[in-house]
Amino acid sequence: MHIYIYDSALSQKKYLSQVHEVEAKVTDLGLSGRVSRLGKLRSLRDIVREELRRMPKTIIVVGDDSLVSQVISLMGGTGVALGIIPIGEHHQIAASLGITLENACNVLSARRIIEIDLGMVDNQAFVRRAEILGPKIKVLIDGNYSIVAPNTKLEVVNFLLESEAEVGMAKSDAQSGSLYLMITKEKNSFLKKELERSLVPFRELDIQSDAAEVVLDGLTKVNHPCRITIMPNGLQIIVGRERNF
Amino acid sequence: MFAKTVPAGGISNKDAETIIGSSVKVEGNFVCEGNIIVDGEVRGKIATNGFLQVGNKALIDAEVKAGNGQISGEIKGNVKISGYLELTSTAKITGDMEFGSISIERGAIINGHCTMNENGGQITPATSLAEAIDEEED
Repeated sequence: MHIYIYDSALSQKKYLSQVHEVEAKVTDLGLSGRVSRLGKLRSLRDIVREELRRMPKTIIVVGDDSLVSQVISLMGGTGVALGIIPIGEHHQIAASLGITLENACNVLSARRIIEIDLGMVDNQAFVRRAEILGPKIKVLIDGNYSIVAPNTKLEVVNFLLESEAEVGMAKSDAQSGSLYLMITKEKNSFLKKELERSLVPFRELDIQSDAAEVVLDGLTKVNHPCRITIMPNGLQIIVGRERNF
Repeated sequence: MFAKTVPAGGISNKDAETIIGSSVKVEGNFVCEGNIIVDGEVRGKIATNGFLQVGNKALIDAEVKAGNGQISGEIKGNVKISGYLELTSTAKITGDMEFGSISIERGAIINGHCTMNENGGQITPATSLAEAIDEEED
């Protein structure tokens, strides 16, 4: 059985024709399933938990990056495959997986499934990146060495989008088996602003600061986080041919 | 990748598994598997079987082990490179060095003993090398 989770924004008039087109194609391809629409009365967490109890074959997110990230964070380790139909303002995650609105239904039909790593902050999953906020952050990497980088931006990256590729991470894909600590320092010179980036691969990172916070995929804030780890092959996801990794 | 061939002029960020920028301080047992670029501070120990590139502003107070290396910064500690070691003119090493082969640019400072591991023979004491370089410059 396929479960479709629709973003609440899709009820807007501007998306109606796209939604109808997708629904017609889904029916033609024999991929019809149960539809859950996000609304004010039901939280996404409740919807995903309820649908997972039905033991679906696939959960398909119909929406933008924000909804995809939230659903992924709730599906880690469940063994249920995730599909994406990108409708909305931002769909870079789908793009990096080789999925566009035009090919999404055919990608679902082809059902090319890969396993990707997920990042975990304590018990909460993230798919792309987690920003570590707070003063005087010290991190311990894999229990071996500590890193201090004052006045810098600290992020943990699982994979980068195509638009972020200029950073130069050689193995920034979600199947590398490692997360990366990315440290960015802004350097202002007379004429231009330059970014200096440091990269450290790891599997376990302990945050040694009481006042730290972590923001997962730019959406969810975790207070007083202790440990960031990787869940290797934590999510099964349906991808297109033109994916980044 | 760089265990077999050594790139001329070091490696780029894209070829590095780990990059330690100038604003970063690392302390402890810094053990990696791939290529490393260090432009910041490291104290403790560095070990990789890949390529180690130490920038000219880097400060390393550690025992260093790597497959191949290019050093332009300062290292206080013993350096063991199983393959090729390149010291540029800004390199300053205080400690003993062991390597498969080496090139030293004029201006590099070495205070320690050098051992070439491939033939097992100890070549010139490092202090003499440094003196020789200084004499050549004069």
